[in-house]
Amino acid sequence: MTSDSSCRAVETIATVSDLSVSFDTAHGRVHALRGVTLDLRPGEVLALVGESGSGKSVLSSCLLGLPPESRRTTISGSVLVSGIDMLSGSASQRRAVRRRLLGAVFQDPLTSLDPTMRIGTQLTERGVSTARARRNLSQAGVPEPKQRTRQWPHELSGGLRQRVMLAMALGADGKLPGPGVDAVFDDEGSPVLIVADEPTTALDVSVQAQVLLLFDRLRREHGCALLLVTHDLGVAASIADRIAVLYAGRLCETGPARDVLADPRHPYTAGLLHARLELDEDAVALPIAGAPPDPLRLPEGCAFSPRCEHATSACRDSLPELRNGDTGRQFACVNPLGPEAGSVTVGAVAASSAGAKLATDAQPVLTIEEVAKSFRAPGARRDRLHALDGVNLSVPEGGSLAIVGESGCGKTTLLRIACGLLEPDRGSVHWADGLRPQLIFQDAGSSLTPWLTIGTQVAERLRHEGSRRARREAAVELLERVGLDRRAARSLPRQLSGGQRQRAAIARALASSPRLLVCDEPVSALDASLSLRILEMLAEIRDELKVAILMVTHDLAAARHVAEEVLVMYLGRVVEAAPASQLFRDPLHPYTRGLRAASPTREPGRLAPTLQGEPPSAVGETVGCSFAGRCPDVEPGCRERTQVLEPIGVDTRRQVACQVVVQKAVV
Amino acid sequence: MRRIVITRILSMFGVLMLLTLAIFLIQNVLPADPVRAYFGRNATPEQLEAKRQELGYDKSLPVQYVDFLGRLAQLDLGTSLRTRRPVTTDLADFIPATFELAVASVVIAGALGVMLGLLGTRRGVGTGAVRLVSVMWSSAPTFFVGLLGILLLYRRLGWLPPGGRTSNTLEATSTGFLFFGRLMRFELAGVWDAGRHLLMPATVLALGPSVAIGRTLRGSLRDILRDDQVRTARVKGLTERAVLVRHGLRNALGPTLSMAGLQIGLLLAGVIVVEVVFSWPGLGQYLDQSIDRADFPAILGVVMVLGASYVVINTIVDLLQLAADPRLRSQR
Amino acid sequence: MTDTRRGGPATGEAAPRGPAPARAGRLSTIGWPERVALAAFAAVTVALVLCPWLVGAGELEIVDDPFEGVLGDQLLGTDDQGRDVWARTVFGMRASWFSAVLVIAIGAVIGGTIGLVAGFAGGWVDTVCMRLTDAVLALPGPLVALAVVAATGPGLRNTLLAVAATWWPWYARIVRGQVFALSRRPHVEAARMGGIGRVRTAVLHVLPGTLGPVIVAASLDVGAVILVLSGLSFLGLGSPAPAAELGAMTARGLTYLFNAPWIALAPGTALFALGVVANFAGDATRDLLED
Repeated sequence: MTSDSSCRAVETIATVSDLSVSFDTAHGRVHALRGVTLDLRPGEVLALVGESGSGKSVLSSCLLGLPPESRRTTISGSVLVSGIDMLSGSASQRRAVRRRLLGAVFQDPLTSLDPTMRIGTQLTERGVSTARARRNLSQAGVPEPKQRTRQWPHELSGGLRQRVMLAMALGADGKLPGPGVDAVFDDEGSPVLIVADEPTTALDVSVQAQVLLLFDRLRREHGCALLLVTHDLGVAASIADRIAVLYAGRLCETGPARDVLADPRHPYTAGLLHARLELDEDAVALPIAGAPPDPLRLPEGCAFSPRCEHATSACRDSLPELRNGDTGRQFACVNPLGPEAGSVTVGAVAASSAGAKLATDAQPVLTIEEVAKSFRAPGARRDRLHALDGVNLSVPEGGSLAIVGESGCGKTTLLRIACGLLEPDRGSVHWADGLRPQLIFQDAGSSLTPWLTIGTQVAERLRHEGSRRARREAAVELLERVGLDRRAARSLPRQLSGGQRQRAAIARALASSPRLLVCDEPVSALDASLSLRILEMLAEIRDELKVAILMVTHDLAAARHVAEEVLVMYLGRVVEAAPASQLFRDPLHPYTRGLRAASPTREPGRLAPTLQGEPPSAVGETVGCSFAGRCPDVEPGCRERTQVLEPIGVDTRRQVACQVVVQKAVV
Repeated sequence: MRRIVITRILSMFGVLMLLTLAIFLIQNVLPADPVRAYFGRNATPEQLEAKRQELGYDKSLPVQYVDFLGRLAQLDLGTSLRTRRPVTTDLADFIPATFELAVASVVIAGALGVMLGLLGTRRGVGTGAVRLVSVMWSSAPTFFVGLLGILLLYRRLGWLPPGGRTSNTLEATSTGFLFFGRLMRFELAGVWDAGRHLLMPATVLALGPSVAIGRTLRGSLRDILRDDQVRTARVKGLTERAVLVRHGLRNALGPTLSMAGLQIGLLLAGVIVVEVVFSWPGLGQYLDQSIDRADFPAILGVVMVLGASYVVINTIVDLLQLAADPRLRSQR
Repeated sequence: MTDTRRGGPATGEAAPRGPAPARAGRLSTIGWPERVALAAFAAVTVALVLCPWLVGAGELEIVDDPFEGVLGDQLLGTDDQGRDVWARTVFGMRASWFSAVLVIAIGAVIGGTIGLVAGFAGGWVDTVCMRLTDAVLALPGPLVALAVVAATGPGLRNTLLAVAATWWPWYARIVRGQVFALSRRPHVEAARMGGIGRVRTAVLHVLPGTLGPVIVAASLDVGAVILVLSGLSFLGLGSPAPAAELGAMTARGLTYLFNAPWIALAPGTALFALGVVANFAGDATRDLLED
């Protein structure tokens, strides 16, 4: 390495210059990246933000020197890491860069480790010593590293596997062999750059916060840079120093995280910020109009112009180049927003406003009393997995209730019992007038019959409508009610987009004229703007058709947006119940407080997890509070007595299952 | 882990019992007159009556089955109508030849299969050609490939002998392990001779299975090489060869083994035809001659031996899969 | 709901075009080689139906002296008895082709029925059906078929039944697996919640989903069944002697391999050709119906 290039390496460790990537498909050419230029500086966290299809994953793959493999891929531009071109450099040079300088963490912890190789072997494959591997494991927050190295990937939880990936990334030593630099692997070194592609998307909220903070701590300790690829501005806001926003394969805006989040210049960035559901009381969300462009038919000019309310003919005619703004900011927009446009309360129609009126005296459409359900635990002969234990709830007519909890808390079991898809072991389920609730599934695609048209599927539930023709017409009416047009009635599910499928599923559910819609994570598979629209539609259905909503979600903000009341579940029990506004303003149970703190917001650097560890297994009998193991306020008595829901204060809807909180309230 | 192994071995014995039951039913229930079937077309009424009593056809079926198992336990499969010798003795004579052919064929099938599988993963022009050749190979009946081989490699080029196990006329009727025996004794000329005789039938027999093995290997490798775990391996800076061997092949081993087990089973059926084409004095030729003479005890004897080998081989393959995939080991 | 001020399209979400959803079942999703393979399959089927009108001689007719060479008065010469090899080969192809199709049809019907019963009934019926299926699958199919034919006596009907008897478990497994998987898919639960009757759910929401995999498996099997049947015929376990069967013809021709190679080569090549067409068409069907 010459002194000249090493001098450059101080200011940037990776440089992406005018990178374009396109694929030839049977339907035409797809441009994944269109002239992206980006720098990465030592030790910084750069968040690359974009919706699905924006090209962010392609960019991160190129940075690793592993561009998408296909004969039909065309790549131009360059990606330099420590002066070595990761696209056209020799294979051995690129391999050396990866081995010595880079680390990577991918989205799905289930598939990113080799299932046939012990953890320890996978860690030492790079060339690090066993001692170093163990040290990296414990730095990545993996307990008992020595035992872990002998385990197989499938024996670890998702959160632990992501930590193992991180430990693996820490194995790089940051020394590229060359003139004057020793080729021997340095057991003390640190990686120069870690590329993390949606590293927390598959994780629970509390584990996500832990992993994000771990990233933050490790890059401070090791001084390595981090490229954090994410679809969630909240995740980006939590630890990023700089943010780069990608849309349709082009950068629209880069700059210091604080500035970009506080006053975005590009309308798309502003739109993303507005579309994000926030826990904050006054924050109102507004979806971006229109849809992301068809990758096969990108517009001539700015790809965002068809959705942009500030667009002029200049935007539509030519591609805007990145321009320099103040304080190290850049944006690609002809008519950038001024500083005041960033504030998020502009002209908002809030669905959450419907949450104000509470119908306490209304008849419940669903009553669940003391319901319990257990399953045979996988891999155990006698122990049972207690999915639900003594759960009560009721949904008032035209009301809305959200159940919040992490994976394994029993919320899905509860939903299935509420819909009569599963019989409880104990307790009762009562539907008003015996009318069965309708379930909206998380994956709308699999909830629609693949070989029947949407129209047929809606119409076959309208038997009371009389003639075939009348049923057809009524089906089209319902589809129009949820924002689909007549053509959708003749489409097969696979011909619709994800959001359209979810709408079709909702129309189909409404065809049975239910009093209650039960929604299982209805938007977790959708991009922010789309999910906001679906949630707004649900709120509208509730208000106009007087259909009550019971929604399960892991996302506190989504719950706040739709529900009047919220139940928080932990390991098969309700730990807190409250009106939505109170719960998020003033969470009482330590678990709710932890979840609240762990939820990312668009405010930079405001992530403070109080929840340690991961939920324990629900297999076998437990005595005392099941949260005691992770609770920051735990008292000796907690482990002896099973905690039951007790009302707090005058409003009997406010209940909490924690003796510590109840005692404090009495005092 | 131990429990799975024990369960698997117990179930193997279950399937073996099932095989005996199937053969018992084929022998005693399917034919209109099992004893006539036993003798074939030309038997005298006295013979039939005597045999009927001897074989206990006057008893009930379950009792007959127990008797059948009893005889089986004493390795009594009846007497061949053609050779007039106990079927067990005949089988013992022919098993070594078939064993040598099958083992050689399995080795060739494995090698060819891995080659085909790896060739197919290379990007570029070769993939289409490999696929084309694969389908062609697996479409050809073994006897057709066999006779093409004889016409070309023997008749036209004279490189390989047309059939039999050896050129040594003294040993032409040998019933032992010719190839392996000579190999053990380091008789190089003899090994060369036996090997030349073994090569063509074994390769012909291996073609079909090698294509199936190659196809499975190629398919699973292609899927695995797209996985994140392979990206993880590449990020660690492993060479492409290390990625392929340590991660790709290691993960493709399970499905490929399972396919190999199935194919070895089919190979045991194919061996019959190949032995006929190449005059290989093994179980297949014995079976073919027995079919011509409707020698029922002999036919069932051969089916029993080959069928039992199939069951045992598949069990071994299942156990090998446990070794290949740690996830299977922790299941119950 | 949708903010129309901004003038977006009606639903705000464009229907996916391009690479995202593969449209299974459309000819446009497969390439030219695959289309040619499917066309060849159809052409072979039609030609073999019409074959009595396409070849000059009957399969048993003695037309000339024995061992007449290729490209003489007869296209592929005559066999050891003076019969037209070309005519016999074509008739043999017809027997192989339709036997294979018939075996698969029988296997698919028996296996499909067992699979449907098991999948829909569940409980002990399912357990019994599937244990039986597994048991038959654990046995070496071609060998058991061989023993059955040997016991029941050679003949086309017995051979076909014996092979079908060892072939059905694959279909039972596929159908039962599909019914099982589809019945647990959310769309069937949605039908249940929508108050749609059991029969309608089974016929409209589950059954169509099993067809694709069965058709794919069946079309991939044609080549394999042709090979198994020809192997049995080669060993003398097909139709008895004078009938034109490719396996038996090849076996007979082996005796004259060096003097009159066409007697063995013609039927062998014909089998190979049928296998190639069937296998390529099978692959094409899979490409067409899967993904």
